[in-house]
Amino acid sequence: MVDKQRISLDLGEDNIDLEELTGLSTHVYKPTVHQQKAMEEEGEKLGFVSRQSRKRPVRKRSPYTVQNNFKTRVGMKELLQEVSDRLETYDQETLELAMLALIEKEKLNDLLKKYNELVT
Amino acid sequence: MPVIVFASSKGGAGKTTACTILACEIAKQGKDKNIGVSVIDADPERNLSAWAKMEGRPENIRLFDDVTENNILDVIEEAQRQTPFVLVDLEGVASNTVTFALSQASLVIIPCQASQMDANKAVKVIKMIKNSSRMIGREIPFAVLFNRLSAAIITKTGRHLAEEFEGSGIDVFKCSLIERESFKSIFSFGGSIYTLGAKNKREQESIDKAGDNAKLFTEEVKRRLKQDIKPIEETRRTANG
Repeated sequence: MVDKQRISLDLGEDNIDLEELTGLSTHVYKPTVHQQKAMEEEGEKLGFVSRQSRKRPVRKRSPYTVQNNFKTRVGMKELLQEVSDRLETYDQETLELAMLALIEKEKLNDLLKKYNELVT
Repeated sequence: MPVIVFASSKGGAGKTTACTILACEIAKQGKDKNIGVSVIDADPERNLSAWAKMEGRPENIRLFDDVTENNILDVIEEAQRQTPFVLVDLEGVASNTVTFALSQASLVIIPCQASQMDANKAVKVIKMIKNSSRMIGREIPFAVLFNRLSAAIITKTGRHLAEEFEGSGIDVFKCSLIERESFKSIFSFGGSIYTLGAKNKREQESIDKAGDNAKLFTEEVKRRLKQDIKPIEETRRTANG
């Protein structure tokens, strides 16, 4: 009796072969952009938020930095605005375009070179 | 192909440990059958990647790192193309990466220590899973896995939480992962618990117990996958009406 061993009860469930599982279809599709957006919004309510670092939009600096005050005839200011409006440019650009036209008309080539250096 | 996601919005719940244990077991069982497993490290802490880059990682475990919320869906898709099993270790925070990964899961495992804090965070993930299920029009199977439990005693808090989950109809793994030195050691030495090597009989017994625990956990995961996912043929029949 001493040498004999009792059999143990096999209460464990049968193991599943991995190959059985590779034949399973998860049948999952990537969520559409619309679904992703909806999930983000719903997630946000529960505190699931974007943790990606966001690049701050860099504001382009204006090249127009020097102020130049000069007096004009009455109505000339409004005329400049009217021209700018028709050309769909700002007043500063209109003035530059006018200078360029004048430089080219008078063939002031040395100034044309300088103009190009300043504007480009 | 099953995608198993480990999620908890609390750090230290045991996501990476559970994920690594499961990956090693699947790799061990799949080695002779040429079955591989992909592990996706979607945690910026990169603990899983650190383990995977150490010597001794089973050859049939493939690592995917450098994961962000912008590419997580593509990475899961690519991993599915390469291996039949995909495990995703998520970050311990509530983020869009978690939201997107949940939508792709065949099974979500929510590791939870026997503490109220862990349980609260588990509930948060469960709410998110239910939301995602509703939005993508698919039931996402999930279960809570009690983790890092003492081998000797069940604490009052642990018992209370198990009853709370059960009372709320939340599925809990029958098996738990026990706090074992062998599970921690693999992150120091690399490889799996089977490559640790014991200096004496006592250490070997400890490794064996960890091995038994890992197997039990893996078998329950497999049973859950089998019960929740339809065979490909059946899915095709359903899709074709």
